[in-house]
Amino acid sequence: MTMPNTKNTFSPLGTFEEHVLLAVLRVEHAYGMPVRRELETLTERAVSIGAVYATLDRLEAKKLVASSRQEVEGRSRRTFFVTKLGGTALEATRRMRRRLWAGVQLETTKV
Amino acid sequence: MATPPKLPLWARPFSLLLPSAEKDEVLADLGDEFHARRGKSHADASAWLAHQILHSIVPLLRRTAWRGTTGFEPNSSRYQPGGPRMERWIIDTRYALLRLRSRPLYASLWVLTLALGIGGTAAATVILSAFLVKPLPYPDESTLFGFWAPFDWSEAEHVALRPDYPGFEAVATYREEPLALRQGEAPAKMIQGIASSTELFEVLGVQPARGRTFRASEDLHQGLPPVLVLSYRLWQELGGGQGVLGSFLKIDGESREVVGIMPEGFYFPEPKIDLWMTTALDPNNRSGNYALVGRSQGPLDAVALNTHTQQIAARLAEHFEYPAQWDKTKHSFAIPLREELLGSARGTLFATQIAMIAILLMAAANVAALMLGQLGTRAEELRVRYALGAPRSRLARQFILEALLLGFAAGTVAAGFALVVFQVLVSAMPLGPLADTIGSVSLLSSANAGASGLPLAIQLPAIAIGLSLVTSLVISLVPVIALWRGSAGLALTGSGRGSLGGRGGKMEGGLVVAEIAVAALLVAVAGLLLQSASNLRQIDTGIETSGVAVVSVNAPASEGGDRRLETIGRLQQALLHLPGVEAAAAVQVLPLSGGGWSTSFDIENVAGHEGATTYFRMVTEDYFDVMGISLVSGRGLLATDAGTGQAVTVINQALADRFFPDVDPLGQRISHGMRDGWARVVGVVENEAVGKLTDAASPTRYLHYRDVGFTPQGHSFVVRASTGASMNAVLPLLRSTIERVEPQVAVDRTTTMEQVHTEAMGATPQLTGLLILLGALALVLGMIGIYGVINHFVTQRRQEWSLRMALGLEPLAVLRHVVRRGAALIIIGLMLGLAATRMASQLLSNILYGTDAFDRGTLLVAATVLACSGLVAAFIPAWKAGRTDPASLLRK
Repeated sequence: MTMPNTKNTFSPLGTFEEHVLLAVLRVEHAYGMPVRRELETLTERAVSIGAVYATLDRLEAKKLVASSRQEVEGRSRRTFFVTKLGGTALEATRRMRRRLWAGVQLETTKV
Repeated sequence: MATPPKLPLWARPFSLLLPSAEKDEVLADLGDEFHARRGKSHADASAWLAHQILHSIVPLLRRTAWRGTTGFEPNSSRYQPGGPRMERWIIDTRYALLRLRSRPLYASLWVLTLALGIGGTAAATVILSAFLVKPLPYPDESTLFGFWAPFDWSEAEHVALRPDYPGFEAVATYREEPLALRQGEAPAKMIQGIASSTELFEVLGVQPARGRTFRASEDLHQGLPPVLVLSYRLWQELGGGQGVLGSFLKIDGESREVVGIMPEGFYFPEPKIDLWMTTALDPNNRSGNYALVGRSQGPLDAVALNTHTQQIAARLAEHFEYPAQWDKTKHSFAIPLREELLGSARGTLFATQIAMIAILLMAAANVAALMLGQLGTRAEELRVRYALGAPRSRLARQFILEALLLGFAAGTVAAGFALVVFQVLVSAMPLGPLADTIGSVSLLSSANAGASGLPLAIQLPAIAIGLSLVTSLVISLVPVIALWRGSAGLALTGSGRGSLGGRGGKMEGGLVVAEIAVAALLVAVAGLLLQSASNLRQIDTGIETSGVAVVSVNAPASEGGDRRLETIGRLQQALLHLPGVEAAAAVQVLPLSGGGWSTSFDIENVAGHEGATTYFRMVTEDYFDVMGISLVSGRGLLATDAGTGQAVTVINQALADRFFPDVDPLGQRISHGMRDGWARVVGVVENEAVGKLTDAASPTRYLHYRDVGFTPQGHSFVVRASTGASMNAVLPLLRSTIERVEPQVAVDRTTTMEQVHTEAMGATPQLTGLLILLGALALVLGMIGIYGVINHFVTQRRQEWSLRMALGLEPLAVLRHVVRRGAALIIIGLMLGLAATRMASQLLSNILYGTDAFDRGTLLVAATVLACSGLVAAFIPAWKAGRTDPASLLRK
C-alpha cells in the first residue's frame, strides 16, 4: 500500500475539510452518512455524500483522520476518527481564525 | 441483519462511482434515508436522491482518478482491499505512458504512420460529406430533379410542356448568361447570370430576402424587358442599401429593374451566379440552350420517376418531330438535383475517399505489425507476469490502452496533417462548379465544408481524433488476438519459435501482402495517368502557346455590329502600342475551348458537298502570327481585303486535304458561311487545335471580321508578348487598357494561352498530381511495412542463425534467405495489386488518353518501382542478419 507524502508542517485546512473534521468529532459513530447529516444540520446547506467521502479520503491520505471497520447498527461501516495530527491541525486553524478575527468589530466597521 | 432497502432503478448506476470496499455500505445508507424520506413525500425523496447523486459525481470521479494514480488504499480496507472501479484502468494507463516514454522510437513511428493514414482520410471525409450530405440551399431537396439533355432544350419545348409536366408541381427552364454590368462611368464588369422562365424560384421553393421574385406573366410577351433578382453578394458589392431594390442596373447596355435580392448562402445552380433574370419565351423558337429543373409532386422512387419522364417524353413527341440521330423523346430520365450539380465530381470524390481509406488500412496494417513486433520483444516480460498470475485480460488491456494513447497522439498529429491535405485535395481534385461551396473561405468560417456547419478548424481535428481512436482500438485487437492464441506459449519457459516470442508471422505477412497490393494499384494508376498526361502534353496543338496572353471581352448587346467592329479595331491598336507587346489580334472563339461555330460548306461549281460543315472562325489579320500558325501556301488575311467587294478566306490544311485532295485550293471559291455568296481562298495554314485538344485536325476556314458583316458580342484578344516580358506585368496592363479605352466593354477574363492549353487537358493533370500523392504515400507505407515484417522475421531467427553460422553457414546464405522471404511477399502483393488494376481499368478508360487502361509498359515500370523499393526495404534487415556476429549472440 502506498501513501502519498504528507508534510509534518501542514498547510491550513480548507473550509470544507475543517467542517468535515469537526463533524467527525461531533458524531458518535462517524461514518459517511451521519457526518453528512451533521454537516447539513450545522451549515444549513445541502451536502452530498460523494463530497463527504472524497474529503474524508483526502484527509486520511494526509493522516488527519484514520478509518477502521466497525460494526454499527448491525452493519460493517468504515468509521472515522480524528488523529492527533488532525487535532493539531484543527487547533492551528482555530488559532488562525482568532488572529484573523482579532480586533474586527462588525457592528462599528463599515461593511 | 435485515437486507437494506434497495435504491430505485435509475439511481443504481451510482454504484459505478464507488470503490468496491465501501459500495454496499454507502448504497445501504442512501437507501435507508431515501426510504425514510419517501414515507413523508415520494417526490421530495426522489428529488433528494437525485441531488445527492448529481452533486456526488464530480467529487467521486476526481477521487477515482486520484486513487487510481496514487494507489491510495484506506486503513479500513487493509483486510479487504477494494479500490474504485476504474482503478486498474487508471494504473494501466500510467503504466502504458511510462512504457511509451521509454520507447520513443516505437511510439513516434506508430504515431506518424497512423497519422499519415488518418490525416488523408479525415480530409477526404470532410470534403465528401460537404458534397454529399451538406444540404443544398433549397427546402425539401429530395423532390428537386434535373432532366435529360441539359442545356439542349428550346423555348418552344418548354412553352409546349409547361401547362403539364406529368408528376411535377412545376418545372423551370434556364440557361447561363454571361452579362456585362456597368455602374455609372466605371468600366463594365462581367458577371455570371441565369436567364430563366418565371417558375424558377417557385420550383426551388426559396423566398427572396428582400423584394420579390418573378411573376408568372413576366416571361410571356416578346419585347417585355427582363426583371432582375440579385445574389446577396452582388447586392453587397452594389453597396447593400435599400435603394438597390427598385433601381435600374445597366446590364449589357440596357437598363433593367432590380425586383428582388436573394438571401445570403443561396445559390443556383452554382455559387458563381450573381443574377437571375426573366427571359421572354418564344413559342416558335426551336433553338435553345436551356436546362430544366423541376419539383415533383412528392417523393418519387426510381420507377415512378421513370414513368413520369416517359410521359413527358410522350408529350414532347405529340408536339415536335425530331430527326432520328437526336430524338429527344428517347432515353428520357431525371436525376436528383444534387447529382446533376455534382456531375463528374461524384466519381472523383468516391475514388479519393476509397483510396484514402486504402491508405489508412495500410497505415493500420503497419501499426498492427509494429505492435505484433512488440509482442515478440516483450515476450519475456509477458511470460513472467503471466506466470506470476497476471490474467490475460489484464495483459490485453495494457495493449488496448497503449494503442488508445498512441491513437490519441496520432489523431492530434493527423489533425494538422489533415488541414494541409484538405487544402491540397481541394486544389487537386476536379470538383466542378460546386468547388466554391467549400474550402474557398477561411478555416474558421462555418460557411465552408462539412455537413455539420462547424468550422473546419474544429471539424477536421474532431474527425481525425475520433477516427484515430476507433482505428487504434481495432488495431489493438491484432496483438490481443495474438496474445490470446499464443497464451499456451506464455506458459512455456523457452523462447523458441513455437512460443510467443517466435510467432510464425503469418498475420504480418498477410498484412504486408495486402499493403503491397494497394500500393501496386495506386502506383499503377498514377503511372497510367502520368502516361496519359504526358500523351496529352505531346499533342501538337499547332499553336506556339508560350508568350501569348489572352483577354476575353464582351461588348454590350445594345451596340450594333458596326460599332462593335470599330471597338475591336480600336482595342487592337491600343493593345499593340503597349510596352512588351509584339503583336495583337482578335478571334471570335479561342482554340482549345471545345468548339465554336460550324457552318455549312460548299465549293463553287463542285457538287457533292451537301450537308458538309466546317469550323468557322472570325479573326483579324495578325491572328496567325500571334498564335505562331505557319502559312503552308498563299498568303494570310489583310486588313485591306475588306471593301474590295470580294470576300477572301484562309483555310487550314485539314480542310484542304479533305475537300481539295487533288486540286490546289488557292483561288477556289467556297461558300462564305455566314451569308450567301462565296469567299476566295487566298491561303492555307497549318492545323491548330480548333475544338478540343484531343480532337483530330478539323477542317476550318478563317474570315476577317470585316468580311463577315456581323460582329458577335464576345471575343478574345490574343497578344504575343516580346521576349523577356513578364506575363504578370502584361496581363493587368491588358485589362486596364481595355477598361480605359472602351469602358463599356467588359473584361471577362485575362489569362495565358499556356493556361488555356492546360485547361484543355481536362482533369487528367490534376488527377495525376493527386494520384502521385496517393501513390507516394502508399509506397512509403508499403516500404515501412516490408521493413517491419522482415526486421521482425530476422529478430526472431537471429539466435538460430548465429548458431548455424557458428557451425559454418555462409552469411550470404542468410542474406539470400531473408531477401527471398521479402521477395515472396512482394511478388504475391504485386500480382494481387495488378489484378485489382485490371478490374479498376474499366473506370479509368474514360479519362485515359492514348494509353491502354492495362498498358503493359506503364504497369511494368510501376511494378519495377514497387519491387525495387520493396527489395531495398527488405535488404536492410537482411544485410544486418548476414552481418550477425555468431559469438556475440551465443554469449547471450
